[in-house]
Amino acid sequence: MSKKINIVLISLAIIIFLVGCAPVQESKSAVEPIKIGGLFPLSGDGAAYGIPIQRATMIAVNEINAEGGINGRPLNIIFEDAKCNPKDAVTATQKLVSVDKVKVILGGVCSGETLGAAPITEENKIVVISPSSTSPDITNAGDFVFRTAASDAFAGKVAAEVAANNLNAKTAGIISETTDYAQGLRKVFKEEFEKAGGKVVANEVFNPDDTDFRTQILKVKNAEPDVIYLAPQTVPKGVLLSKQIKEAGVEQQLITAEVLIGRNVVAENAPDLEGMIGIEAEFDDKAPKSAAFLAKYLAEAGEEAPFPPFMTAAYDNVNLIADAIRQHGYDSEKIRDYLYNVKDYEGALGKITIDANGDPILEFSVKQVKDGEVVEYS
Amino acid sequence: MVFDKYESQRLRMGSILPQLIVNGLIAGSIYALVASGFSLVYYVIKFLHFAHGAVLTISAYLFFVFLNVLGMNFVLALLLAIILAIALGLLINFVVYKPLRKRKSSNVVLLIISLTLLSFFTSFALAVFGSSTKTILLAQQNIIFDFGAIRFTIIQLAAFLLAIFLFFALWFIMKKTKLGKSMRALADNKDVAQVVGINPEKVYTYTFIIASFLAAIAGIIIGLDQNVFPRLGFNFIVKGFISSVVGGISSVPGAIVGGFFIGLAENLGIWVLPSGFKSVISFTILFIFLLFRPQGILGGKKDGI
Repeated sequence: MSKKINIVLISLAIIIFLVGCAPVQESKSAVEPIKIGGLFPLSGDGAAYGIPIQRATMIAVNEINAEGGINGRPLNIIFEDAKCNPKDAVTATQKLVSVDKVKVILGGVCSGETLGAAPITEENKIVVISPSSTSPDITNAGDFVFRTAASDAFAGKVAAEVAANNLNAKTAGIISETTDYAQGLRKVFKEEFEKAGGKVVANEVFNPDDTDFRTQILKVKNAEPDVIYLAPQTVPKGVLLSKQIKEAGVEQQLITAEVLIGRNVVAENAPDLEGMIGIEAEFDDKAPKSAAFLAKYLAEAGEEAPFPPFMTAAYDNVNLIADAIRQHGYDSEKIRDYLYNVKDYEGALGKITIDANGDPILEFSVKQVKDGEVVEYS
Repeated sequence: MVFDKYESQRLRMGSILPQLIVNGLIAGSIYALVASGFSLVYYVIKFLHFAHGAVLTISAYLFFVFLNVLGMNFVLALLLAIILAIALGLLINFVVYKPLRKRKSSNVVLLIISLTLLSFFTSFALAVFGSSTKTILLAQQNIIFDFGAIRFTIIQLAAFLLAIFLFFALWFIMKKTKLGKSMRALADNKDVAQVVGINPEKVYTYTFIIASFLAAIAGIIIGLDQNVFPRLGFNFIVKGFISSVVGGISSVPGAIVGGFFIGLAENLGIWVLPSGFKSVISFTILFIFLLFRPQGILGGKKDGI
């Protein structure tokens, strides 16, 4: 009796296994889509970027597919969750490369994701194009690694210049998160601030899982710097950090990169972010293509675009890749060559030119939170 | 010039110590609130209820929704959030844990299930409420007590007083009440307890009510103090777990002592060490305790007190 059941079970298992392994039959009438990978943080704290950027990507993809795809073939993005860290990015990239056999990967979003993916994609000659990874290390991450977000080598420099020149700061304290992106910013800010004659008197870090930064803040406060530079990786941590800074009675001017001046971030946490100076890539939301994208995002997502430069970059990346495929076919080396030759491309982000390192040439603008609004710093 | 800076910094160190201790006590109170409920479930039912973190997260979100989205008054929002959190705790117990216990599943299975539930509710919160951080807006929240050398907010004071109160309340419940005695009897020997007429499932239900109540209090306090975000429960249950072990996993009030111990050790520790070592400190303490005093600070008497 039990033997019989065993046989039934085993045969069932074999059948399920075989059926499971059979390749999915695609309906013959449909044209085979062009598969592209998407390496985004879709869960965890990094999802605050990942999800809006994913939506921006899909807006571009849907536009292309609505017009009949690329040479008649629709674009199909296979999204994998890289969770804003190199470890999960490696797993996700391996899946995209060996299972889905994509030749282009959009993303990563966090610097750690792009840096985690780069060794694998380089080896397999797969184009990676990030809309938002800003770590200086990405400049030299590989021949196939591109981005349309400006390196922090510039963002950190602008922050240091604002501190030293506009605010006449002689000393600075730094609080940063222990991630690739935030440490890149910290390093550049420190170097540039010291080059400008300033001195970094407190240099504190916190880990991505921490939520209590009071003692780090206390150490910085105790060093009495003229300004404090904040480099959180994600919005939740950045908001919490600024809240605890306010609670600790810190009165110094705070300077940060782009994370804490996201428009919805400021709208939801205005009291804690008031007065914050932030630096983000120059972006003209009135330019026709940009305004069109932002309006479309508002209509589809029901919220203002939280990170316009990153999101328009994501939108442009899809269009750049689509253009490359349209002109040269789905061939990663040809797409790479196309990207190195991008010059004054009119995108939603603005005019995009890609340099010999695969970095964009962009300007920065300095913003400040005033009365709960993000305005030009003056 | 540079010398002066460091000299003055050293001179100020003495005046910083009180605030450092306050920071440690704040962190400790929160760890204690998380650890107490977690520890209670472990003590009575003998498995690691990591889904306790899920109740933390959900209660914080519920409180945020009731207070700020639906505009209820403070007391009503608080009560509703606590009641729903208890309902969630009971639901987890009835729908998931109870059938598994009936099937005599091993503790490893329960552990995996509880981690799965934690993961599920973290993703659930992400899907429903989005990834952005929610700040709970409450006028009174910005009341800051400033005594020169030390500063703390009214929420942090409340967390501290609650943790102290719970220490005594849990001690009282475990030692003096019939329910506490039943819990201790079950923890000591389930079979014998059943022989003398204790219904385990009934006691387990009460255990989950108390534990989820504690989780709701902790979740709301964390939400008020450190904002609401999907991974809230995930982050705090780890510290709660360490606190329970260090305080004595076989002692419910010990969890509170453990919470304060870990909070103080972390904050005093990173004054001397680089601040990136914060988690290293708590995990090192966990290792030291597991190696040399596995019963924890207050454990050892095996009677749950």
